Amino acid sequence: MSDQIATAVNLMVRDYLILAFLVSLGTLQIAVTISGIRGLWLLPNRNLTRYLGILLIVVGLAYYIFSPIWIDGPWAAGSVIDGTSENRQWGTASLSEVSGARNLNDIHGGMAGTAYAVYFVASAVLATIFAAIIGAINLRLSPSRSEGDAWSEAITQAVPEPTDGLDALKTADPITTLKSSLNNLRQTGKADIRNEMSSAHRWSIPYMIGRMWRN
Amino acid sequence: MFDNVAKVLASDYLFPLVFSVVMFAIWFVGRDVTERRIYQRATLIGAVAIGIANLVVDIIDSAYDRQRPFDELGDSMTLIFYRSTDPSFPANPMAVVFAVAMALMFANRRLGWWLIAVASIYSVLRVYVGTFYPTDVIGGAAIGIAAALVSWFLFELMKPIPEIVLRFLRGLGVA
Repeated sequence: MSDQIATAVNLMVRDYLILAFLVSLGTLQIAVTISGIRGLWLLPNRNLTRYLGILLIVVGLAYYIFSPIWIDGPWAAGSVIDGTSENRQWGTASLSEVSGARNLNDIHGGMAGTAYAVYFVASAVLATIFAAIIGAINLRLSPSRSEGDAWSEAITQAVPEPTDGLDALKTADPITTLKSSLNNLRQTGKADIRNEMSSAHRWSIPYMIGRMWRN
Repeated sequence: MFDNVAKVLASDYLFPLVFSVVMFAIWFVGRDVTERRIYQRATLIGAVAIGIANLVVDIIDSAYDRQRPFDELGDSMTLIFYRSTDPSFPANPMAVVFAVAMALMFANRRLGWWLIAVASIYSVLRVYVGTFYPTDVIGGAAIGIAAALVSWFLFELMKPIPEIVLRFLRGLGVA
């Protein structure tokens, strides 16, 4: 029984990682086409990138919800019929059972809330790194904005050439961005922190500590 | 048919994932530094709010063990979800989704209201499938909203530390 639970946990974790990765990557593509962060686009064209984002979300959800039809697992076929999560059956789920197949208690092979959170963060970080790698390749292969994509032209011309952070990714690849961001941090970081400190409320804790330190 | 839809929508994975990806997307979605900073601050407020909400739920759970509706009502109700074993009050998933919705409202009111609406649908569905009483989800929602307000207040109190953290992250090219 404990072996079955361990296998069930592995199965749930693997499938959730796939779901979270595809949905994160898809959502990221939609978000970065809105903000024009070209260094994270999977495709050179804005509209195609956005459609790809939507497709990734749909594929991720479809895989997670429908895969119990062809993958053997501890799907919650029994629990939704007689209301007990202990009466589970290994094997594939039927089409009528698929809606509840992923609803497994964490003590019987499902995942706890914290596990969902941890695996989501891991998947989101992985999706961002993946998008950065593909985006860097795209920018190297076609450094000029894609023709016919007037929106990309407009958004990158409307703002001055940024030197750091995600804004730099609008025109530069992640490695160039990292270098320029670190340079910028070294040059203006202290001044920026001083500015932020001077704009703090009088009742903010760092402001009060600073005043006590000076006195 | 509706039961099948409810089983998917009330699941542990779907709506929490929706709220998580909205928080993730908000980090990247601003069109300039100023707008992005507001959104990224809201994301950080949301993350802290989730921590506070979970802590409060854990403390209440350890002090008050309310039985689940299927344990108390037995055959008089139909459970179409798994039998949860942790205390019913307050509803932890509701605390988390309402904390996120409220935190993002600080950055974009319209998005916040949309998320509150989605969180409310999730709450109703959780009651419908039989895992919570209505008072459990109301309690969870109240904790989530309060956690977001406390988190916002902490950020104001700690100003400018969050801004310095964001400046540092911008220096690493990720904000």
